[in-house]
Formats: sequence, C-alpha cells, structure tokens
Amino acid sequence: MIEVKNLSKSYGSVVAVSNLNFQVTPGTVTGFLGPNGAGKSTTMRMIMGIDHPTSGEALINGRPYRELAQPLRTVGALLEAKAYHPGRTAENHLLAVAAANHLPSARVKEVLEQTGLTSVAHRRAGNFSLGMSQRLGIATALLGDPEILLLDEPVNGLDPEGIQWIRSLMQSLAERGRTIFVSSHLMSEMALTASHVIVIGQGKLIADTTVDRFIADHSELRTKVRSPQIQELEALLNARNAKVNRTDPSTIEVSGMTTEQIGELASGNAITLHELSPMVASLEEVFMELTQGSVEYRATEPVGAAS
Amino acid sequence: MITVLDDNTQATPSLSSALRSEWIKIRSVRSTVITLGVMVILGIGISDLASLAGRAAVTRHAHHIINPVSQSLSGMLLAQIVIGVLGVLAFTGEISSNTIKTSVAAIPNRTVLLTAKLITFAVISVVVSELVAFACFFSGQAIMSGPIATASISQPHVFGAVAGTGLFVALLSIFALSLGVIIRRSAGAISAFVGLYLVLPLLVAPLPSPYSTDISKFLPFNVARTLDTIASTSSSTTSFAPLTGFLLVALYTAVMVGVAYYLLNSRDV
Repeated sequence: MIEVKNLSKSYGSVVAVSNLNFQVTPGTVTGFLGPNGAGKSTTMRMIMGIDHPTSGEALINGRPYRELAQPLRTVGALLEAKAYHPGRTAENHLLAVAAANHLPSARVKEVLEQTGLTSVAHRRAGNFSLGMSQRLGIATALLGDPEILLLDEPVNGLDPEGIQWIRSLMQSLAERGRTIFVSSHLMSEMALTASHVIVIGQGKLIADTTVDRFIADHSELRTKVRSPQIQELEALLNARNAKVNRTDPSTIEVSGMTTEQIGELASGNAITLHELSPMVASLEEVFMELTQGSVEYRATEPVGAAS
Repeated sequence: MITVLDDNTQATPSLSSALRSEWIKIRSVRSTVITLGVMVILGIGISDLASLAGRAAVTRHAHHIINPVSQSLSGMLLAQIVIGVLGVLAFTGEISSNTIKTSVAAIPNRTVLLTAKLITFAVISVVVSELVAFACFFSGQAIMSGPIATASISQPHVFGAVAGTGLFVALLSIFALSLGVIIRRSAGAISAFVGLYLVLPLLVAPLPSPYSTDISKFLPFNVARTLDTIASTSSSTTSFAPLTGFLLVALYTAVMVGVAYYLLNSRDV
C-alpha cells in the first residue's frame, strides 16, 4: 500500500508536484499517467525517499521509505532506464544490490533468468541496448521479490515481445496480491495493463478512478454517419443543435445526440443510411483532452478522489 | 519461481551489508583496477627515474647534496593526483550513471551508505598508497646506493617519513572523495581537487613576503613536502612540523567528510 498525502515538491519557483493525494492499493495494476513533465517521476522518487518532499509525505505501509526495515523486500523500483555503472556486468550490478540487503546471491541467478538476461549476465552493461537496460532495471526491482513494484515508464525501449512480457508480469504479480504502480505517458499502454488510473497534469491530480470509469466519464459519445443524402441529414441535425463534423464528402461525425436519435431522425425523413456507428473515445483521446492546457484541468475536480 | 526467498529471509540492510555491496561495486569496475595500476606504475616509475637522476647528479658533482628519502618518493605527487581522481570518481561515477538511486533505494540510510563507501575506499587507498610509498623507497635506495649515502628504514624518522607519506596520500584521496560528494560532477570535483592541491600553492607564492609563507604552510601541498624530509621534525617559520601538518590536513579532511555527510543527507539524489 502506497499513500501519498498532500505531497508537494518545488524547485525554486518551479512547482513540480502540487498537493497530491492518492493511494495505491494491493491486488491491482495502478497506472500513473500524465504527459511528459507532469511530475510522475518526481512523485515516484519522493515515494522512494530519493527526493525530499517540499511538504507532505509519501508512505509505504504507513512509514516513510527511509524507515522500512527491509527496503528491497518491500519495494522494488525501476526509476531510470539506466541506473547502473556502464563498466559493471549485469551480474555484478545485481550482486552488489543483493549484498546491500543481505539477499542471497542465488536470487541474482533467478532474476537474470526471469528477465531473460542469463546469456548476457557477464557482459558489461554499458553495451546494453535500451531494451536490455530496461530488463536489467526490472531484474533489479524484482531482486527482493517485493510486495510493491514501482515502475517508471517500463515499456520504453522494449520490443513488442518485451512489452508483452512486462504486461503479463505485472498482471500476474497483481493477481498474487502485489501492489503494482506503473507510470506511462502512453494512455493506450495503460488501457491494456492497468485497471485503475491516477492521472496528473502539471503536478496536480486530475483523476483517480478505474480505467473504465475514466473513459466513460470523460468521453463524449460520437456517432459516425455515412449516407448518400448527407447534406439533407446535416441540415436536419444542425436544426436540432447537434454538433456535426464533416470528415469526407459522404461522412459526418455527430455529437450531442445519441445514435438511436440519429437513426430515428433519418428514417423519419426517409434518408438512406450506409453506416451508423457509435464511436467510443479511446483513452488516448480522453487523456489528450484532459491534459490540454492548464486552464482546463485547473477547473476540473478530481474524479473519484473527493470523498 | 521464487525458490530462495521466503518469509524467513532477513533482508535488513546494515553497515556490514553495505560494506559488502561497496566492495563488490569497487572491484567489479575495470577502471578501478586500471587506475590503481596506473598509480602504482607512475608512482614507482617517476620515483625511480628521480632516484636515477639523483644518482647521476651526485656522481658528476661530488658536493651535490640530496635527501635520499625525499628523492626516492618524488613520484608520490603524481600518485596523489591519480588516487585523488579515483576518490572523486568513486562517488561522482554513481551520480553520473544514476547508480546512486539504486544504492539509496537499497540502503535508505545515507549515513550508512556513505560510511561504507568511505571505509571501502579508505582501506584500498591506504593499502595501495603505502605499497607504492615503500616500493618507491626501497627501489630508490637500491638505485642510489653507492655514490650516495642512502637511507635505511631502521634509521630514526625514516619509517615515519615513508609511512607518513603513504598515509597522507590516502588521506587526501578521502578528501577528494568528499569533494566528489559535495560537488557531484566528475569534471568539477576533479578540477577542484587539482586546483586546491596544485594550483593554489602557485597562486599564493607570489604574494608579498610574510603572507606568502604564512598562508602556504597551511596548504596540503606544502604539508606533503615536509613529510618526506626527515631532517626537520619541528616547526619552522615556513612550515609546520610533519606531524602537526599531517594532523592539520586530517582536520581539513574531517571537515570535508562532515560536509559530505550533511549534504548527502539533505539533498535529493
């Protein structure tokens, strides 16, 4: 369980994180979303006791990270794509981390296998590709078989197979009751892995809700309509104050009316339809809309956060 | 899948676990070994060349007087720079590679982390610096023996001069490591170390008479010069006694280490 309470961080006059409040609970994959520079990494570093908050606190099972008795058994973190000395081999890097917490060195072999790095264990990590670096970072996070996993942009640089692997790893760990907190600036990625999302923009909380509700609450239903008599239909829709957007000569996108209403309007006026299809906004679209411009989200109350 | 970890695993970090981790870190980077090798080769090589030059000078001019101890330790200045740079990099290398984040996550108590790093580096530095100092001394005396009345390790103050020089080199390398913690950037910290050690004496030298010597005797560079001269064991107007000077630089180092602890604990890494 991760609890973030009134957490703020400023660098001089620049506010990176502003009064964040949220909890990350066990048994689910919680996505941490926001555009680049939203304060995700800063928040994660404060949770890990690496950066000091300007005010507020971040707690792991009720205590600051610094006071954890068994840090690596409790939290495993991937914070940077490359957080190892380039001259050290993957195995030695892991051995040094394991030794720091009295973890048995046999565990190193296990995480190397788990992350598919066994064959390159004796190579200097400075020569690793971004994907291999990410795997080594994930191996480091898994060393203590922690109950909480904190991953900052883990899919960066991974190939499709690697992305598939990290997704199923996160889901299987969540199913076993672990707490998974994973950041991304890619909404589509989160839609596939996370069941809960915490969205921030410019250091402020925008939403803290389930992925499904997040989309439902923030998407406006649009309907795609294709018709040989498109101009007639457009006139009728405009007369009823629907928002109409012409995408090509015979196709329009309509919002402000339900799909059923549009269908009935067309049949009542003997207009032939070639297509009438509801369009659900993707998470990506919702996200783009939410994080566009500071004015918009200053006015928005955090969804599901207030209670 | 998990076979070696269970609920009975005690994974609480301590100074001993931090020391083990630091030992693995420092010996698993090839550049550490290479740098120490360079220090040994340069230190002994330059010292032996100086001993050869001393021997030649005395052979040509019989009245030429050299101090066989300090002559044989001439290369320690260069050895000092090399191990100083290694000291800086022992910390700044973690910053620039982001390893420090992994280290702090594993050992959240930064005082323990820095203590382990200082102890590990100090042990290596003392061993290698003393090794170089004694190798320089013995090889230098062997080279010079014959035309010069060479020194023996059993003569008064000779052991102290050689061991003290080695210890001083190690001490300043700890100073350099602390500079690395304080400045965080390799280039800046190395420049600061070389500047304080080598450039500052050059800047102080041209000052008007009393100021020049009054200030320069406090500089580590000039303290180092007094250590290998076995002749004077007491203070003079231009320099401190060897032990006084050594303790002075130990005090500088203690202050720097203190600042390093404070900053590492209070700053973000």
